[in-house]
Amino acid sequence: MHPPRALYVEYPLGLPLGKPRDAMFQHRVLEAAFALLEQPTGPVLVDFPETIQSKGGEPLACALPPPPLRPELAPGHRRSTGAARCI
Amino acid sequence: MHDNDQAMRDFAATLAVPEFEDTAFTTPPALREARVAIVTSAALSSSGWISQWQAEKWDFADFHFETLPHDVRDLELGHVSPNFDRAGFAADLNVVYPVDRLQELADQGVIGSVAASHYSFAGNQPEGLSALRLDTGPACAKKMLEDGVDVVLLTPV
Repeated sequence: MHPPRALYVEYPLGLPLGKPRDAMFQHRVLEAAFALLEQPTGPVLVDFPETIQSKGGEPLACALPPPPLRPELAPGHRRSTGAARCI
Repeated sequence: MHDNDQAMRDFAATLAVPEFEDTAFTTPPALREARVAIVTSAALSSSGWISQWQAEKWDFADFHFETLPHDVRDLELGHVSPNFDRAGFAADLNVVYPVDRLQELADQGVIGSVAASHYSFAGNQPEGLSALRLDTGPACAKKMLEDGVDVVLLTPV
């Protein structure tokens, strides 16, 4: 797509700033992202040097309840309301 | 890498990506003078509203964006499928939506100011991103221009 300036971060999905409750880490990500503004031409794609790997076997955590049942839909689709929002 | 995480990456790699002939590349003012806004695809909204929305009027063709006043922190993440671990968001809003980090940078004089509002989209978009390119995207950009925003920080989720 060639966005004008992009910082690639190798983190688990859902964590674009990297580490929750780690303001210093998040500030390093922001500093690297804002440094791209100094590039005179683009598009620019830079890899952030610090990576985070998920630990295999970690259970998924869901802080939200599943979407409500919709009895008017076919059984296989009664919880389909929220599923499409993952893409 | 978590199996589910890798599966989502593999799936995303199969999605068609629009190609643009030209990159919209502009040079903003110096960062210490720039007004900065966040645009996220985390489907954030005010607490309590998302549950009502899902129950009463969720529509796959609803491509609207939410306006998030800068001082609002009581937000919900609208993605409800378990395709990524949202525990990080539950622990710290800033890992998705770094609104406190921006305020700190403004207080330190690193950036000029923080926008009055930020904006949140959901990931469900039509093939070709027509709504985003022709409707919601320009509408969101217009609101930011009216607020004097110079720099937009995009945080994909």
